Amino acid sequence: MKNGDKDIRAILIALVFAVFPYGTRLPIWIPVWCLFFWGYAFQATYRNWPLPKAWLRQLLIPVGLSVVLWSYDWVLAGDTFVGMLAIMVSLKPLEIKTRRDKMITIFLSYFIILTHLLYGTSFFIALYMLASVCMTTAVLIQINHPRAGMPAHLKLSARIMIQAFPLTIALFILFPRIHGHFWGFFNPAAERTGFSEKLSLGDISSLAQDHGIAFRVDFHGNIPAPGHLYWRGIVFWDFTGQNWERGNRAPARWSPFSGTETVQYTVSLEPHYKRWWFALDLPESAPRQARLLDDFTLASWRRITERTVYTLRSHMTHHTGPLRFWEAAALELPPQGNPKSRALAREWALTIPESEAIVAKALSFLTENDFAYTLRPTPLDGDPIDDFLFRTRNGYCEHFASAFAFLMRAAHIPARIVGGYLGGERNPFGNYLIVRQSDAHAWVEIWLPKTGWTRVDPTSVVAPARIQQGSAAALPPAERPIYLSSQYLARLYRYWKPVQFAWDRLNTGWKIWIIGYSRSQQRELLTSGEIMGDSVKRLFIGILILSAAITAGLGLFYRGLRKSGPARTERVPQAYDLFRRKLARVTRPRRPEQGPVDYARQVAGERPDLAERVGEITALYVMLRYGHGGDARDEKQFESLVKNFKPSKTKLTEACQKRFNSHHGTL
Amino acid sequence: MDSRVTTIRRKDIRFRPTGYGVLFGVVVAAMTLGSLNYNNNLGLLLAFLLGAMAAVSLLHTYQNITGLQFLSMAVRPVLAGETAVYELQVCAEALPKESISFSFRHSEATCQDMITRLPRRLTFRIPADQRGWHDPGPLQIETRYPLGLFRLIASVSFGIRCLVYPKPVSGPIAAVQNSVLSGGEGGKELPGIDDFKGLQPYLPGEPVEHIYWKAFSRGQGLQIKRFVDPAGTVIVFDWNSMKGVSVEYKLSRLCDAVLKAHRFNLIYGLNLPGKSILPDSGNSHRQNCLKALALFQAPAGPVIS
Repeated sequence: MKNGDKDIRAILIALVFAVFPYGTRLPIWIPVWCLFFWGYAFQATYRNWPLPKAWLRQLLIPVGLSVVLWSYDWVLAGDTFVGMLAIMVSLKPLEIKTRRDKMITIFLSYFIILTHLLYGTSFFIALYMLASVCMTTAVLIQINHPRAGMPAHLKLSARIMIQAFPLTIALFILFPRIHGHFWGFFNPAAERTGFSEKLSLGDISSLAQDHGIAFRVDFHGNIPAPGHLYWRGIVFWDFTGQNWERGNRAPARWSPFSGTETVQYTVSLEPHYKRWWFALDLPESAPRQARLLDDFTLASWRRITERTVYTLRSHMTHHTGPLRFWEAAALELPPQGNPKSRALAREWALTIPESEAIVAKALSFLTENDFAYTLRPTPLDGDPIDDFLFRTRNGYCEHFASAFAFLMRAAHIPARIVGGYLGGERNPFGNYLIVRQSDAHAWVEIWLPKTGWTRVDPTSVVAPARIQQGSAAALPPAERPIYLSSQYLARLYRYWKPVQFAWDRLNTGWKIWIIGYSRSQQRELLTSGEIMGDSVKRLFIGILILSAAITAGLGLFYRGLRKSGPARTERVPQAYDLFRRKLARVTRPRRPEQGPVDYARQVAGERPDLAERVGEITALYVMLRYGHGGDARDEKQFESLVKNFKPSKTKLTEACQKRFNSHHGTL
Repeated sequence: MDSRVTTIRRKDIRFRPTGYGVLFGVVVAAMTLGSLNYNNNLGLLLAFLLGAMAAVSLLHTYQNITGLQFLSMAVRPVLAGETAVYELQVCAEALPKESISFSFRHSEATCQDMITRLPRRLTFRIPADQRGWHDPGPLQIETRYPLGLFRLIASVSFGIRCLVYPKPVSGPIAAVQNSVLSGGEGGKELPGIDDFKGLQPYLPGEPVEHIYWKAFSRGQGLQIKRFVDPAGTVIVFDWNSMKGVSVEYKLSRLCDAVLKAHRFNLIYGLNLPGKSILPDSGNSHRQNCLKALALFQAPAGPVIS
């Protein structure tokens, strides 16, 4: 068995390890293609099969590459590159001859590991990455120093990796980051759906099915009651007759807003490729990366293309002051359309003097007329508000919000629609909220002289459960998600939930601290500013100290091995016995009168390929047994040498013979 | 036995990245740039991990080479044109030491994995072409363990050198037979092989082939035949007896003469310009003579005490 073959097999294992996560992402024929050639290369090391000639390889590669391009419709995107990389690597093991080929294949394998990270950044993928790097590095050691065997190489590779952790973390924290990109940005993840800058009836209900995470919130105190968790993102000012648009009305707000019942919290926002941030009603001021608009929405300077972490203060009790002149837009309606609703509102406005009473009247109109909360509203015809208020009478939050806002405006009460999220699930493992796309919500704000802009949520009047238990619970039974519809599944779901929460806690810490670490956080950390809550900072420092401690501990552990006491020689004869038995399987056994040195000489004569190792073990045995002794590490060494001594039954090859000759002097 | 122990210390070691190390650096740099560009922190983490692993592997490489101890052994003199054989014993304090290659400047490298603390013997053969001191130069110790990305080279000088005698060239040589020095004709006899002198009782240690078996078979006990060489002639090899040939040639002839005279157990002396060695015989005398020839007007060799 040649070392070269062993190397090739090891390389193949490392490659399979590296490419494995692509198994489902790439078209099925690519993994099959890779496995076919790798399987062939693997078998060829045992069976002496012929390797394909150079011309065949040079033919196969362009063919493979073209098929990859064809299967991706000739589009050069991330997946295509990965597929092409896989094709190129698939044939590499068949042409490995020199050390150079092996080293380059290993470097390619590192590269493949990197490409996974373009797709996913979860904690699990990171763990897999570590395992894969460990494996590939072990193969790198195998190529350079084939003596010790794969288990020892894996151990050494893991040891190097652990020792490298503190430096890695230091580099990670300190390495300068950039904003934006050096060159064109390619984003393998499809753009998320989310809010658009237009609210048409039926938009949010499509989000209700989406359990993707919108953002997570870490409160620096207690989590407020569910009824307060209105996360505002966008304010719609303009009604076109069919849908609501954001308009571009609100100017930036230059002075911080003040109020009482202050909460402070940190939001970790998933990328949504738009500019707005989400804040609890109503935010005080904006951090550097964004600005606060006068309608209390936060607009980021940059599109959110990566996970963004920001800390805000909000005031839950507040008075926004007098109506500003530009806010007169909150009364505008299209000149015509929805006549029945207009008439209803005008009637209220004429008969009821106080604005508050008009609001109450409108809300009672919704409760008294059997309006229903549903994810599958009846499609609307003609004038949507009229149709909804007087015919279909079922809808989702955007139906209620837009109808209510329309009624208010028609009754000369300034009103605007706020889009955002309501509620969130508390993760018991981390005291933070997870807000999902399915928590998307729309509500109304009206301006009243006594209270300023005041939130009115018409949906909550129709479906109070929406606030307390989330959107799924508020739906009629038939529309509920499957996990809530059957009792059995619901129970299963209850058990599953903690697992899900724990995993999310882990992933969130990971995502905030590793994946979301950005230039601004770096600057704040290095200027000893506060990045996030104290708890997280403590956690972070804890991780640093822990990794330092682990490294130091391992160092001591290995030192400890070195400084051990004298040998307990009673174990040495046992090990020698084992050695003798192993040898007896492949050579003539030791005769009783033969001493160890004599026996070693006999074995060397019979099997020159084993001579070196046998000589070494024998010399060590003689030293331990008959010499001045040695200490525990010699004994340990002796035992491990015997343990790892695996004499092959096959006769030596010419190469071995040569090697033996060159070493003969060392015996 | 002239030997001393040398240990490799940090300051003896230089490091260079190998070609693969440079390539690895390029790969890591590309990963870093790409990850920065795509704001992929996990990619950065991977790139930094690989970089840090390379850095840590350098420490392992250092550990692999420091603490090696060398014991240099006496070197047997050789004739010019032969191969000088240098022997060293190497042992390691901390284990394991993997894939360490040892070489002198002109010798082949030998690669060793040291997995026990037993000393290993390293043998280096270097052709010695010129008479005088042959200096192998410092020993180069090189290792790329464990990842093959860095190469550590230590060079250690042991001060070992090999004395190279002139290459013997046979030919007639005019030797001065100096009877004055010998103190009269036939005055001295040395045990030899030429003339039978008589029988003597056998003493243990005497050559068995000289035993007179016939006497033994006659029951006269073990007796040996004793031979002597006439030592009446004391020879002095004289530099000036050769004319019109180059210095090296003269030395070669003289070397040949000394070797032969020693082999025939003669009493001989050497007369060189500026140095003369009184006639004598025996191994140390031979070595004195040969050393004088080897170092005759030698260009200043390595300054070693």
